[in-house]
Amino acid sequence: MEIRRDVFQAIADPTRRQIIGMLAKQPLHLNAIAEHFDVSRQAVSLHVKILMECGLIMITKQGRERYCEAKLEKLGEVAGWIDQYKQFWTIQFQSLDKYLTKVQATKKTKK
Amino acid sequence: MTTATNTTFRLTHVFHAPKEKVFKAFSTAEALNAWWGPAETSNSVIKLDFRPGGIFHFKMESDGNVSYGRFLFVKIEPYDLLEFTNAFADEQANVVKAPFDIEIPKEIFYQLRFEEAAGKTTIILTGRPVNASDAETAAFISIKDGMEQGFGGTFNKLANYLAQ
Repeated sequence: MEIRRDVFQAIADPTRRQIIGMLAKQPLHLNAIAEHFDVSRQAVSLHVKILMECGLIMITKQGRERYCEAKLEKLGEVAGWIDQYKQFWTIQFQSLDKYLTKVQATKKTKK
Repeated sequence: MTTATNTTFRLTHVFHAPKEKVFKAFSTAEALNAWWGPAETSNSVIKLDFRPGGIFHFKMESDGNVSYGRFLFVKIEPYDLLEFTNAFADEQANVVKAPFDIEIPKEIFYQLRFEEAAGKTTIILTGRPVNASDAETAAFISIKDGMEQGFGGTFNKLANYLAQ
């Protein structure tokens, strides 16, 4: 079964955002994460699973515990497209600059 | 809960021209043909219907590759405000997915404010994905709090975008 998992879906949920925020500071055991939330350990575990499927965190087993670590390069995808749009508009505006300079120069010579 | 601004990014640029001139550069096919479009492509205006609900349909050509883009004008207030959505399009100006490998939002909503002072015009551009839920845009802001505590390259970079 193909489930669409992407970074936007990962961060669409407030609990998942909080989990990312916690793991961004330090790697944590699943139990330690679960303790922070009022929802059941199962619910937290599901969020963790989704984050893993989206490639935002890594889970390693240590004995009976699962150890969660942030793998946040994926969020770079988000920064990446924002960057692209910014660059695009910067170039557009530079082009508009040139155009306006040209138009105004033409006007002046006509006078 | 922090109030999420709906803005994903913001860019300002100062032009050495009065705002009427700057604004008008968006309003005619002739002007747009002269300056609009990605630098690496040759661009031509197919259609420009400069009114709310109207579209600007353009063609981008580069090394034999042809792609199309379109604006759908939302709000036009000469010479102060321009709002439109921008997306890649097909030949008939239907919105299509961006031809990139990474997942990016299909359509972006832009607002351009034109502010004039001493003969110079500042454009304040803000953009955000269309149809991205508030949660998605809010996400960037709340994630930032976690990131500020000792995260490397990418995260700082993202945080910088969010802070702007």
